Amino acid sequence: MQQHLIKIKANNQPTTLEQLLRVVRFRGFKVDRISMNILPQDQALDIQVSVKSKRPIHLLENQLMKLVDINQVYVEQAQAARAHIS
Amino acid sequence: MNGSKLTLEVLTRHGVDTVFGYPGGAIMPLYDALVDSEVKHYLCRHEQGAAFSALGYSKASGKVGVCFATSGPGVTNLITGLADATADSVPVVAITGQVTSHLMGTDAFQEIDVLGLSLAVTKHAFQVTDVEELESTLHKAFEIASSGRPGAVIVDIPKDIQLAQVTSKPMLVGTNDLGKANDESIQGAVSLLHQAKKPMLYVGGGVSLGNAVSELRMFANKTGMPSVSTLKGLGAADPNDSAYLGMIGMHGTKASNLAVQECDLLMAVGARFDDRVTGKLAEFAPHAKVIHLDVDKAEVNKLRSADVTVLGDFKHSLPKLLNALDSNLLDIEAWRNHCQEMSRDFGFKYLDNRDNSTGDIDPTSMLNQLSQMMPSDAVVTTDVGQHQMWVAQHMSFGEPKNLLTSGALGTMGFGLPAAIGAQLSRPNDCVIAVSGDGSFMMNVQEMGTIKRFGLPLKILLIDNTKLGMVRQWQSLFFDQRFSETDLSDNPDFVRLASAFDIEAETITEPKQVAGALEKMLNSKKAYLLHVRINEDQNVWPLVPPNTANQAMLEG
Repeated sequence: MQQHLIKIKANNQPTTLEQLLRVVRFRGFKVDRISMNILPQDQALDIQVSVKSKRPIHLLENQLMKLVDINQVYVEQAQAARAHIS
Repeated sequence: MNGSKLTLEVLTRHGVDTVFGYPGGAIMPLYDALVDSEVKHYLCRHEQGAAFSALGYSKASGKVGVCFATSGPGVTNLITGLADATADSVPVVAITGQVTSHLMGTDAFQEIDVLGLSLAVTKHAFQVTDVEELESTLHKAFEIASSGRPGAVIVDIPKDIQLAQVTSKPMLVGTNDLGKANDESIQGAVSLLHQAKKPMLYVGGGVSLGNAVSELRMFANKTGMPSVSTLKGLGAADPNDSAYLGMIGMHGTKASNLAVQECDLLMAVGARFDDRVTGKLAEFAPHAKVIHLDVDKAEVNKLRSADVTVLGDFKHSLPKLLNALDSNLLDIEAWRNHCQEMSRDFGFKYLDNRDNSTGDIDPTSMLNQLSQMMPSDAVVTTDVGQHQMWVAQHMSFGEPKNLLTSGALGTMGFGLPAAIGAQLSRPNDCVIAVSGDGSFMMNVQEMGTIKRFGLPLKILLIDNTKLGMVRQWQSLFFDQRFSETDLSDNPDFVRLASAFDIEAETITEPKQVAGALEKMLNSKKAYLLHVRINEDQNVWPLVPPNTANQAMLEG
């Protein structure tokens, strides 16, 4: 089980967060932590989500990049979940 | 003008002259605007029928399909069609009415959370909350539906927005740039192609979606590479190429499955290593390196790792690959001969129904006969089940747009409304809906649409009074415990067709086949040919689940 921190820049639309969480779940990942800031002028969202899964992270990364309102996806780190917990 | 009139104007600007739909309370302003519009609306008898007609229209023509529905049940009835469009990458824009803005979120009459419902099955979903955003939203919907890897987009418009006054602001419409493969990936692919002794083209539905049929055929022709096709790829490879081996996968030809298992290089073009293609994934094409050409990065390395990835427009990458190879084309004559030999040795054998005076009608021979008798530009739609696989195995298609089928989602009930859409998009072509008795009943109400618009489409209904494919699996893998697959209480299909003014005939004997097919094809009006077959007629070959493709059952 690998844990990854994903940093996302997205359009500030009513469905953005819902779409993000739906894709994370459907593609076989679990959310450990999530935070979101609305950037000035309400135009964009800055989202950080920590996910874990047995599946390779590129599968999720590529699916997230297909979402119309997501502009950037950056996977910051990968570490064994066990190590993270200890 | 109001939002409804603006909506229809934007459709016209995108070249839309045909829409399919079903009215209701929350979309009445849009239907009112239709009265004065150039856009022709085709009233279907169920919203699912409207969605599949839009799919059929799009698949047969290459244009964006458009459908309308009202709020609540209107939208829920559309959803299967939109899921089908997205799964098969078909550009469809659905415009739905929503309850008035101030009632949204109050569980109003015929209110449903359209965004929540549709996000999982569409490429994107919009809800318009300000009439000033309506025009730009509609343009975005068309752009998203038809660009990159196409799919369904829904635009939900509350009733008050449809009625609100607005001024049109003409906008530039975006172009569809699929991107171009980089030189490094082309060189990587060329290197693998030169090393290969047994290369194989694995052709998927993306070739047709990328309008790259001629580029693919040129590549196959110049390199001499043998090819296999997915269900959705049928018609893309040249069916007259002697090294084209037919469909691959669970019901693929013996030659195609054995050749792919033997090949040392698999070049996937617009294909996605679907489970129905690969069988047991870990044992699929076990000796092959993989070159994967696609426009969708998410499909690459999803199920099978590629040795070389070529991302971008096939219309650019295939000619570029060919140019890079040109001075040193492939030396694969022995492999090509071997594939041709397998194709000859393992090809399907057909009974001559005219000489068979005693047995049952053989549907595989009948469909092969139909394939030879029908015009070369005929469009065939299928539903889902045994008849669908028989069409894929035993009919030949010169263009991908001539075979319309629900590939990825596998939706029973697709065929009849899809044929309606196809007939309207290609009014001068012969359109034949091949269906099974289970699937046909799922959207049987659309015979009313055929009657209303006087469409001359043909229905070939293959009836074994069973849910045949499920029954075949029960027979093979569930100890012949036949659970809920009996349809022996089907209606009298000839009388049913007659109730919709559709001429119909039932045949039961092989000697009737040729004459009945001829009569159907020569009919100037809608026609239903009801063909009774034996319930034990199964689809072969069949690769059992989680089994390598070479271990196919052959009946």
